[in-house]
Amino acid sequence: MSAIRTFAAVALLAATPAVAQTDECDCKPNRACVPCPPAKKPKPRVDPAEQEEPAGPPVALPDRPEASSRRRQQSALLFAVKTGLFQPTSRLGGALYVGAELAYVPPVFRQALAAVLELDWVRPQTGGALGDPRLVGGGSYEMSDQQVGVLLSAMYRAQDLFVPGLTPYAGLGPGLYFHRASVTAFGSTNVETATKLGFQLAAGSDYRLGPGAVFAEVRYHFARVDFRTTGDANVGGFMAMGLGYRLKMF
Amino acid sequence: MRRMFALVCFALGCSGGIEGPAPSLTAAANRLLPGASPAIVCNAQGDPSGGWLVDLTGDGFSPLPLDTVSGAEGLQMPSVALAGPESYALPDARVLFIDRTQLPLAMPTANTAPDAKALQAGSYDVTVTNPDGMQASLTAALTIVPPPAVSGLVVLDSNGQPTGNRLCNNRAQTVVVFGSAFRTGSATSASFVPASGATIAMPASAVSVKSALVINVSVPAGTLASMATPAGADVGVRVNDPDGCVAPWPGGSTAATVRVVTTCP
Repeated sequence: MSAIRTFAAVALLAATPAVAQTDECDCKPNRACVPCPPAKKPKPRVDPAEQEEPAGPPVALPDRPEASSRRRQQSALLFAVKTGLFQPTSRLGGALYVGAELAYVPPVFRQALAAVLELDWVRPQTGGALGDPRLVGGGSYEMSDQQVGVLLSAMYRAQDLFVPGLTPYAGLGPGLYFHRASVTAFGSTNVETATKLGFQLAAGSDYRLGPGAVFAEVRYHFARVDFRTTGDANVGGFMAMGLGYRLKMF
Repeated sequence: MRRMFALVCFALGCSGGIEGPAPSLTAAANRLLPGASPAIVCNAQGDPSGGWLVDLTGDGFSPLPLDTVSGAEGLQMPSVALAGPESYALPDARVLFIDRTQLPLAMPTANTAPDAKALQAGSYDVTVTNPDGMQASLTAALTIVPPPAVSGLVVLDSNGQPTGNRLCNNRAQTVVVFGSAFRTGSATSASFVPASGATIAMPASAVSVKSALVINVSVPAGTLASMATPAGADVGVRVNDPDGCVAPWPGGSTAATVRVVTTCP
């Protein structure tokens, strides 16, 4: 019985596309196997729990639906980089958004949950003319709010929900946002800094590609500031069209 | 140190205040007397709306745009304070801005509304504070002087003999004006103001400030022909300080009039 499980597990792993392997094994329960490459050769006497997993797709990434529950009970650490267009809900204009995240997938709930720590950066800007009567020659200003966010999110990942390899996910969590508002006007620059708590909502989907998975993501940040130069305002907004790539670290 | 603060601030969640340019202040000048240093201002009288313009020069003057994201856009000007016989902070509306090197002040006077202010006479230090809290001061940058006042006059004939207040248009005469707070060594001027008709201003060369209490005005023959009548017409004498104050202030009563007659025998 143990050998059958081993065969089945090895067969499933070998069938995963992300594994660099051209000859798949034809192993079926209670039948002879087509010989596999030496590294993939089944070892009937080895307990599957102790078997070393071959290099291949991360366990938390989209997997074949028939993947063994044993593999799904392993933890994983994922790393991702992302970029996208950040569109604030305030007067600030759209800006490039870049971020990197580490996600821990605990070996529970069939790896459907993940704790994600993200560091991101965005620098939306705005500007305008000042018509104050005290300005003899008028004037204009340019303002930017550089935001560095440290976000902690809980994510739910629905692996292979509709299509094999496709993993929609969604989550939310608090964020610590470091703001640096810089206003340049009349030949001078004034800078204000503050750290504020906020939160974010995120949703996206992985699709297995190569050694990891590409993903598209939308995100909403709520990040309020109360600088003299900005006023009391939410400088957060939507990250639309966010794209990234996610890799399994272990 | 700044990076350390930013790091600690980032970790603890706090506001780091505002950082901006530090101003410097090198001079103050009354636009009516641009060459005078320190600036001399008579603010007991003045323009009813604008007051007197005093230009502060230096560098790093930095108005701060406010509420640029929340929508209620505004502007915070550098604040200006005077310290001397009394302390006075100029209202925000009276601090103007040309560029980072020029900050005009619309100094309020006793005549301006709604923020009339007559400062006590004396020497004042000026301090400019940018919205970021950085400031610069200039010691004895401003001198507030009292307005002139005219209390009486006498007309002297060509021999220097007083003739009361009768001024003969057919003769060169001198009007001696008595009062107070006349500015010696300044370009004080005088003018004759009829009850109706055009005012006749005397050239600066005809006005001699003998002391803070006495001014001599030389009136060549024929100067006041348009005002003279055979029976004599009462004409007021006005003294104009170069810093803008006059005596009497337009609309006010005068204590000094001459009776201008066309011809004296």
